Amino acid sequence: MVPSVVDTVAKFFYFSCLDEALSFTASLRVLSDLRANNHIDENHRSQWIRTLTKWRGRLGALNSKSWNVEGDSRGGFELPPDFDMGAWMTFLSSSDPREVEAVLLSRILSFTDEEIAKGLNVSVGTVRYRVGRGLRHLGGFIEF
Amino acid sequence: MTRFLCQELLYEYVRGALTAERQSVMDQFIGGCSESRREMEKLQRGLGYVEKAASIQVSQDLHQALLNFEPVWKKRLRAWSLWSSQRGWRMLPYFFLLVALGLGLWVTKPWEQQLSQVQILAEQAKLPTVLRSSGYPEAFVTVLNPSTPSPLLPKKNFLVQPQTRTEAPASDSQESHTLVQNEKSEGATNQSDRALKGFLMRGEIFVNDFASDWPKIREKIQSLGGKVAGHVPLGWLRNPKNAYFHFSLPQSNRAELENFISTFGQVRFSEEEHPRVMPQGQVRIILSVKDGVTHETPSAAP
Repeated sequence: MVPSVVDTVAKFFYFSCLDEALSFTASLRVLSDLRANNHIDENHRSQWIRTLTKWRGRLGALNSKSWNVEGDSRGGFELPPDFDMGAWMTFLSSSDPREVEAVLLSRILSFTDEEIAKGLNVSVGTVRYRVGRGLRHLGGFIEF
Repeated sequence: MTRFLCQELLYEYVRGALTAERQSVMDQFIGGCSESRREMEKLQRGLGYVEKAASIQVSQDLHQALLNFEPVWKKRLRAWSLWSSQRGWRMLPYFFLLVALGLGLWVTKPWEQQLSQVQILAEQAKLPTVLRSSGYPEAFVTVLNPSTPSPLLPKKNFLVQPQTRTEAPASDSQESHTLVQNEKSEGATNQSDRALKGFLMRGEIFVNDFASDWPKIREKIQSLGGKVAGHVPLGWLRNPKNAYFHFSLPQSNRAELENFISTFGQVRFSEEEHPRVMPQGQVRIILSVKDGVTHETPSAAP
């Protein structure tokens, strides 16, 4: 399995719910889904987006499970020392989910605008508009 | 350039994705619009933040957990297999699995569930369809009219006439449909077709010499492989003028028994629904032998 798929999927769900256990469960489902449909390689990045966004809508219906044997679901992500998750949390809870999704895919997971447009079935202009608007909202939540 | 348009183009302006002409127009506008400058600052702060967010790494442990995930039950089974194989009991997990599977089958009895579904279908007036799909003769299916008001399976009667076996017209009775079977012409195949699962044959015969006839009938039943069923002995004397026979008989010997009984008089058999399902090739029969001189009224079986 290509490692970047695993990281991309894990980070997508972590930033989507900020719950490591839930994001682990969802990541397993998505990876299984991608593997079953043979979309695991880099040539299917638009398909990754389709699968990710499909499962993002189902997060509420999943039962979270711990990913390590100790039953502790923390420590799965290595955050920079001065990074404050508070701004993202506010952004996640108060902004348009489509803007959050666009910022996450474009600026954090480094999908190209074309890949996102294809994956979300929207135009490239719409993707840029959502990213720009999302970033302005996010910037408004950052204390300086 | 308007403030709205400026804000719409801010993202591409910051990324440097605009044409040189648009870039200079934006420069001029932003220089004179404090609101747009504030929006641009927010956007730049947002960009700085997501750059840091993008540097978040998935830990090696989580990465491995996602790559090599196994359900808990699988892990336990593997650990158990390893543990037992180290002690030379390699088959132990499989033995327990087999036992569990067998126990599950024994408790759930899926074959009985299937049977009950067939019974429910029959009770829902889909009997003709069920019978046709089970390979019963069309004549029999027609006799069991689905428009019968009773939700239960209608009875099927056979009239075995003494010595001569000729076809007779069906009676007009609405409760039951009488069918005289010409067994010689239909052959043994149809007989086996009539051996319905969950049915019993009920018949009665009036004999002239009760005291000597009923023991002969009992002997014949026993010689044909008849085995007592129910709670009373074969040929139980319900009263001095009525002998009760409740027995199972190989389907292949039924015709011979009917032939034998018909030498004593006219016997009427009816097929009734019964919760007990007989094994393949066996038929359950209740026969009342009555004194033909007194003609007593029938009573309920024990």
